[in-house]
Parts: sequence; C-alpha cells; structure tokens
Amino acid sequence: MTLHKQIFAVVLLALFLRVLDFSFPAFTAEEASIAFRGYTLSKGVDELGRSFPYLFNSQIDYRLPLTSYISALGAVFFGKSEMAARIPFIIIGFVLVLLTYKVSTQLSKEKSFHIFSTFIVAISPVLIFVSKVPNEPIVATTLLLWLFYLLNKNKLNSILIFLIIILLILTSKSSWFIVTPFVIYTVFIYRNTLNLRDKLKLSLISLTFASLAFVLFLQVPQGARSLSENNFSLFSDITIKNGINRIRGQGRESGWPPILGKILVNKSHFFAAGSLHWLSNIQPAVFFSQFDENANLSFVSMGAFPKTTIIPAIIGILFLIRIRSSKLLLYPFLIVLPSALIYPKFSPEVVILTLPFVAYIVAFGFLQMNGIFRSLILTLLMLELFSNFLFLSPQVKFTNDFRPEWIKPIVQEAFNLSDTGQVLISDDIAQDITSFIEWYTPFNPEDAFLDIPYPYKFRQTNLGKIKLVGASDNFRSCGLGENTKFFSSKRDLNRVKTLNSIQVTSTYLNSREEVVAYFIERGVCIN
Amino acid sequence: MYKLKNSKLLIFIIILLIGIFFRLWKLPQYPVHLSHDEVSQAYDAISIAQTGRDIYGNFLPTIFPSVNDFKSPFYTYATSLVYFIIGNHEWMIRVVGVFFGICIIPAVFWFTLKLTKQVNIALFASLFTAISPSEIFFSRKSFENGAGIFFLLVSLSCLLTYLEKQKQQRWLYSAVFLSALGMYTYFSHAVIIPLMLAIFILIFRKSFTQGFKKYFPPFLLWILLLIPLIIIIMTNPGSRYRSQTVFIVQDSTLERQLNYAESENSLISQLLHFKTIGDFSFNRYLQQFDPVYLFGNGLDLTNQGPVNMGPLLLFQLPLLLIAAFYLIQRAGFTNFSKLLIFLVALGGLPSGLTFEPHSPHRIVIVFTLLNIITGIGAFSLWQKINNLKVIHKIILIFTLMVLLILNLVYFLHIYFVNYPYEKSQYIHYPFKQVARFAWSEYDNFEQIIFDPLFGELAPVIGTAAHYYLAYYGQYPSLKFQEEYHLGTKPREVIFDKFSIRQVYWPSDKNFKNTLIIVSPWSVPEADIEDKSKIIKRFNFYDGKLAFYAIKL
Repeated sequence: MTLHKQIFAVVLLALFLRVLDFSFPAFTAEEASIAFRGYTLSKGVDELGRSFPYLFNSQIDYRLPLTSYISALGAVFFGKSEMAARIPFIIIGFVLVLLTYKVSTQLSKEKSFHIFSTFIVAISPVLIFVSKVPNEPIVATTLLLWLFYLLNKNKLNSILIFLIIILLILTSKSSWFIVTPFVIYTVFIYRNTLNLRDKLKLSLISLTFASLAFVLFLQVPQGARSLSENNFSLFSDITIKNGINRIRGQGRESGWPPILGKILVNKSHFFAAGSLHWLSNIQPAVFFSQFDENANLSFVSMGAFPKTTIIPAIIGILFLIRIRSSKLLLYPFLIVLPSALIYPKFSPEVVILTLPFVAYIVAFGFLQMNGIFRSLILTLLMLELFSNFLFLSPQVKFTNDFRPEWIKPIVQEAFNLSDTGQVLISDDIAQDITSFIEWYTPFNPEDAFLDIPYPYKFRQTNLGKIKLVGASDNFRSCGLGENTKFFSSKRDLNRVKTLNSIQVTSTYLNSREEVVAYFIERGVCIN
Repeated sequence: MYKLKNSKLLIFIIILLIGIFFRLWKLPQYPVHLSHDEVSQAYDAISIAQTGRDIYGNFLPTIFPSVNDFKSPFYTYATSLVYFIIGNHEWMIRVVGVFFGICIIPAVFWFTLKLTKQVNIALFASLFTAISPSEIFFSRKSFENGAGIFFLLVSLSCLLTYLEKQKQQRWLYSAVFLSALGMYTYFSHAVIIPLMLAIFILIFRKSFTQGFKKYFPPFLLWILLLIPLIIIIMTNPGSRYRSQTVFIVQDSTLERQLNYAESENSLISQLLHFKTIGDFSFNRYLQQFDPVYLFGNGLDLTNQGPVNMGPLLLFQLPLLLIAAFYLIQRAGFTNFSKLLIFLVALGGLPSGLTFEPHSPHRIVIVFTLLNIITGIGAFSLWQKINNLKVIHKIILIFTLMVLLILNLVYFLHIYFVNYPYEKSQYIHYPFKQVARFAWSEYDNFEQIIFDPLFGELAPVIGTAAHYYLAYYGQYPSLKFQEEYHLGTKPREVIFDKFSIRQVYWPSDKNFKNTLIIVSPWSVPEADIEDKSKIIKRFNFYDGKLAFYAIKL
C-alpha cells in the first residue's frame, strides 16, 4: 500500500470513528446550551435575546464566542438538529487529523512517522470524544496545532498566523495564557531559524493580543472574578492559606520559634502546590489510563490514548532525548502551564491541547520498535478501542448524571404539557435542566429572553409556561382552576407529600434504571 | 573490587551517621504513640517468646491473625528475638524496623556502587536514602518492608559482584539465600522480588556466561528455600483472607463500575468484568507516579491539603529529571539504566493491585530506587557544577545546600511537630493512656468496659484495644491466651475483668461498680446525667476530647 493510500485509510478511519454511534455521547448541560445558542445565533440573537454578543453565559464561567458561532454555522446548514450540533465539531476534529499529518511532515521525513502520528490522533479516545460534542478544547487544539504548523513553515504567512492567534484568543481563556509562551518557545527555541526581526514580531504580536484580551476582559463586570475563580483558583482557594496558618500555629504551640515557622511554612507553598499540580496534569495516568476521573471528556477507563501506547511513548521519549532532539518534549509541559494556576481541579480542557504533541512522541516510539512488537501493540490497541466503542452501556451508566440521555422524554413531555397549562420541574432532576429543555424541545427562544448584558454563571428558571422549582420554592395545594403539572425529583416528592391527595401518575428512569423523576398530574402549585 | 579512598569512606561514614541520627533521635518518643500494628506485634512477639504461641494460642503461627488483618510473620518473630535480647521496652517494637532502615543506607551504597561503578553516585544515592522522608518515616514506624528492601538490594549486589568474578560461587549462593529471605518479610515482596530477579537475569543475561549446569543447583536451592513460603501462601486461610481483603476489587469505585458493566449476556458480562478490573488496576498503578503524591502529600502526615509531605523531598524532583537525561543520554541507556527503570516499574505493581488509592507502604522499594536515581541526578549536576567558575560554583552549591536543608527541616517539622497533632487518631492515640488508666483503676471495679469507637471528625472503631490493655498491663501472655474469649454483645471481646465492646448507655448506665470508658460518639456527654461520674478525660494529641471514663 502506498503512503497516500495508507494516509487515506487512516483519515477514513478517523472519520468513521467520529461518526460511529453518531448520537453518542449524550450532551452535558453545557454542550446542550452551546448547541441551543448556536441555533438562536443562526437567527441573530443568543439564548438571552442579545444580538451577536462577544461573551456568553455558562454555568461555570463566561464563555468566549468562537465555539458558539461555530455551532451557529452548523445550525445555518442543518437547523435545530443533532447534525447541526455535532457536525461542525466532527469536521474540526477531522481537520485536526489532517493537520497532524501536515505537521508530521515538518517533524520527520520518515513516512511511517507520518502514518503513525496521524493514526494516533485519529484513534485517540479523547480526541474522538471531543470531536462529537460542541466544546472549546477541540477548536483550541486544532487552532494551536495549526499555529505550530504555520510557525514552522519555511515561508511565514504572517496574516494567517495573526488570524489564528486571534481565533485562539476568541476560543478559550486558557489560550490567553498559552499563546505567547507557545509562540516565543517555537520561534526562539524550537525552530530558531527565523531572523530576529520575525521572531520579535511574532512574539510581540502574540503578546499584544493576549494582553489585550486580558485588559478588555477585565473591563467586563465580573471579569476579575471570573479570572480569579476559574483561572487563578490557586490563589483564591483557601486550603493552602489555612494549611500554612495551622501548621505554623502547631509549631508555635510546640515551642518552635515563630520565625522558623515563617521560614519553613510560607507562601512558597503556593509555588510548590502549583508546580506539582501542573506536573500532575500531565502524569502518565492522564494520557494512558484515565484521562478524566468523571469521564466527562473521555471513556471511563481510558486515557487520552490507548493503554499500550505507553510503551512507544516511553521509547519515543528515550529516543528524542538520546538524539538530543528533546525540544518537542517540552511542548506538553509548556502548554499545560496554565493548569498550575487552576488548583486544585484537573484541567482536561488544557491537557487536550497537548495531545497532538504527545501523539508525535508516541509515533517516534513506534518507529523505534521492531515489527513484531509494534504489531502486538497495535493489535492490543485496536482490541481496547473495539471493546470500549462496542460496549457503551457502562459508559452511559457511569456518566448518567452529567450526560443524561434519559432526560429527553422528561423535557419533551413537559414541553408538550406546557400547551395546556403551567408545568413545574424540579431543578435537581438533572444539572441545569434549562439547557436540555431548550435544546431537546421545539422551545421558542423568545420565551427565555432577558435583559442581562453580561450574564455570569446565570441560571434561567422561567421558560414561558415551564418553571423550574428550586429548594427555596414553597409548595402549596392548587386552588380551583389552577392546572399545574409537576415533574418532581425525589427531593421535592418528599416535600409535596404533605399536601392533600397528591398522586404520582408515572415515573421516569435514568440510565441506571433508577427512578429519577415522578410525574404528578395535579394538585401541586408553588407560592 | 573497589577500594574506597579514606576521604570517600569518611564521607560515607558521615552520611551513615546522619542517617542513623534521623532514625534514632528520640525514637521512643516519636511517633508519639504505639500504633495498633505496633502494639499488636509487640504483644504477639512477647507471647511467642514466652509461650511459643500468639495471643490466640496458635503455636508458632506462619501468619498472625492479630486484629483480623493476618500479618506476615517476619516482623513479629524478629521482635521476639529483640525481646529476648533487651527485654520489654515500648521502643522494642521499633528496633527491627529501624535496624533495617539504617542497614538500607550501606545496602544502597553497595548496590549503587556495583551497578554504576561510580563511588560518587553511590555516595549521593546513600545521602538521599539517609535523609529521604519515606526512609525515615518507615524506619521509625516498625515496618517490615525495610527488611525486604535490604535483603533485595544486598542480594542484587551479590549477583552483580558474582557477575564481576564468576568463579566466586559464594556470591551467587548469597544472592539466592538473601533474595529468598527477602520474600518472607512482606506479602508484596513475595511477588515482586521474583519478578525483579527475573528482570535482572533478563537484562544481564549475556553476563551469565557459565553453562546452565552451573546455575541449576543455586536455582534449585532457591526453589527449595521458597517451598515453605509457597505452602504458607497456598494452605494458610489467613493468607488467602488477607489477599482477598486487600485486593483491588474491594474498592468501592471499582465495585460501582463493575455493577455498570453487568450485562444480560453472561459472556459479555464476564469479559467486561475482567476488562473493568484490568483498566482500573492499570490506572491505579500509573497513579502511583503522580508527582503530587510523590513529592507533595504521599506520606499523608497532615490534613492540610498541599501543606503536607511526600515520600520524596521536593528537592529531588529536578534531580530525578536530570538523572533521566543523564541515564538516557550520557550513559547511553546501558544495562544499569534499564535495570533501574524496570525495578521502579515492577515496584509499583503491589499498589496497583490493592484497594487503597495510594498505599505508600507497599511501594517503599520504589522510593528507595528513586533515591538511588536522585543520586545519579545529583552526580550529574555535581559534574556540571564542577565545570563552572569557582565563584559560580560556590554560589550554586550554597544555594542548593540551603534549599536542601530547608526542605529537610520542613519535613522534620512536619514529622515531629505537626504529624502528632494532625494524625494522632490514626495511631490510636490515646489508647495507651486509656489502658494505663484502666489498669490503675483495676482494683476499684468489678468490671471495666471499653468501647473503642472514637474519632475526631467521624467515628471509627479502634482495633487492637485488647492488645493495648494487655500490653500496657504487662498481662502474662499465657494467662491472656486462657482468658481471651469472644463475648455475646456487639463486637465484644473479654479477658480478665475487661470487656471491650459497644456500649449501650440506656442499659449499661445501670451497672454497679463498673468503669466504662467511652467516646462522646458512643455516649454523648449530655446523656450522662451525673457529670461527677466522669472521673477522667482522655484527649487526642491536639487536645480534643477522645474518651472519658465513667464511674458507675
């Protein structure tokens, strides 16, 4: 088989794996909200009725615009459908595979290397996963690799580089931290063949855009808070400060001189904790055994790459160090640097950006292996992928809480019933059930429009005739003429039991076959 | 053979003395209390020495039931010997651990010297072994793993010596004997030592130049030495029980995943079952190499998140990276590099198969090997520093020394000062005080009831309460074997006038002439109508209330 045919086969495999089980995985609330926002943006406004805004709402932070507008592109072509939500990201994931091939031709002349690196990215469980749902990391990963490709091209295309930098900055806040060191490292250390003028120009441009992003973002109400809570949580987390004080206090109580306590236990712990957390984000377990503990962006028991690829990865590292070409090895460390500040949470969205670079290391390792050993690893690798892709039931059950595919019948029934009167839904049936109502039903976006210019962690609870019931809402028996239907969680079922003649008409099960919602046809109203 | 120069020998002796100092300084006082493992092994050791039986009357047991955790026998028998020699002291139980903890320093020196043939690397390796938090911590806590590591390192050194001069068969037989002995010390060593030997032989296969006939007798001897161990493992139900209770399937997260993997098709169900266990185990194995665990909080000496201590000093992290480059680049990835990497990889296996997310006590060998690798990194750095100008050299060495000392003193602070405050509950503090008080009141009451449910933040049942009472009462072991029996009340064990069990206050408060020792978890103070009946309070090390003694 010629090289082109092999590459073509790998690319086809990549496409196949990304469209296989098209509806898997079910959307999280966040992904559903991006999908719905894409749909509304295709009509000219976002989900809150703002016309083409540049900053969006999410449950955890502000959301930057690029991903939502990519989602809108899907909606322009496919309307409000699963195709619209998934296809743009499948295409981006597919482009990443093609880019991996292009970059591999810059890194080595070995044809096997081109095939292996493209293959590794094509079959990476995490990259497949994020290619199937609306999300920022797949966009940022593709753009970052594209930037790497452009920076390493013989002939610099400055305009395209600037454009990619701008797009990266519009994709995620993490990229604001990454883009400048990435460009500087690439042009000054990794490549180091450009003239000083070009090096400085590229570095300054990236620095300017990144700085501008920070400055503009800080002008936004809650901008500083957003950065503090989501990007500098190392300093806002009180565990370290409290720990320092307690340890020092115990020292003083034991008779140690206070000055010694200050010398030994001090703010340097922030540095130590951040540094170790940074390295922990790229520990072997993340890449080769379990990418994300919650399996939010990967399969339950899979790392970013199949397990057996740890062997070529180690061999690849040894090879690159031995031939004194270890500059490539530093990219994962450099890219993940912002995660040092995001303590104590694991930052999968940052780690994903490193995956193409790790794939190259794995590919170098494959090149160093003998044929039998290589075949054995490839066989085991395919078996692992096959067993995970074929038996999705454990995955669906494990991610039952935050990828609730069982929510569809509940929200669709609730929406249908809202034609006849008010419908109440407990807000703890699923995380941010609003997004699912908006996305999975023919909901009229205008019913949820609000006048909020900069929504930060905003939760919409009134959706026309559908109202979400929180723990603070009080129940009462309905009066004459009140026709309210209630989809109750277990929490609220216990609360409404005290009301007169309440009857559960039907129940809904989740993916684990547990009752998750109780439908009460009449009798429950709220104050 | 290498002949050490006097200066190098002097440096090694200083390193050894430093290691001895950190292991022996205030050993009877720190840790501040005998843990349940220590007290149970101490009293079983005394019982064996006095009667040949453990406290349950088992004659020379090969596995000690202890507190239903079925301990491997090496440490208890070794402590019996110590008891014969020095008699009963509280610190007696720590002697074996600290002895092997000290012996590991010269063992590391010898092994590294034989492996790398560089005295300076061996000196650096032994220095980091001498001051390593994990080595100091485990040496002082009466832990058998150190003995296994010592025997393994010495046996590998013997093998390396044998490979230098293949005519001297005594080295080969010494290796056979010591490696077999090492396997008797700890459960996990019974698995990893053979694997490590196999890797050694595989890597150095070309150096074993004698014919198969030469190696068959020592191999046969090795098998013969292991037959008793195999019989113990295969036939002793305690051994099987122990393996089952610590096996990874006991993990609750895995249990949940196994439930999710169930399918209507039994074949698929079975396949998914094995796959899930395999995946989970592999992940657990790799997580042992998490930098946060290794350098940040792996020893778990505090409850203060990142303000904690790892098995290795943070100072060692850059040295390990330098060592990795040195091993791969400078040394051309020779056999010794391969051996170290494979030994580290194998050393992590026991933790990957057991139910605790992190069990540092099962991979101490990995920490020892990482100390050796740190030594290689330090040597490489030392070479680079030596090429610098004198002034730069002085500044750099001074800075590094300050950082190392600060890191070390920080560990000592955490270990000697904070660890007792933060974790006294985990070593069953204040069971000793409770036991001593109970004995002091022995003549004043008809019965003494002790409910070992206790805790600072949540209640846990303290194990080994009968051991604490018997040990601190210097109770004759033969009499204990006769007296000890299970009671009829919840979790009740009885000996003499002591009943260790759950206290049920509504009925127990009606006893007369009884001393009840309970925690507020069992009997809230508000439930005790007459507060004057509380005649003694026992606090955790940090001063929070653990138990009170109620006079009825």
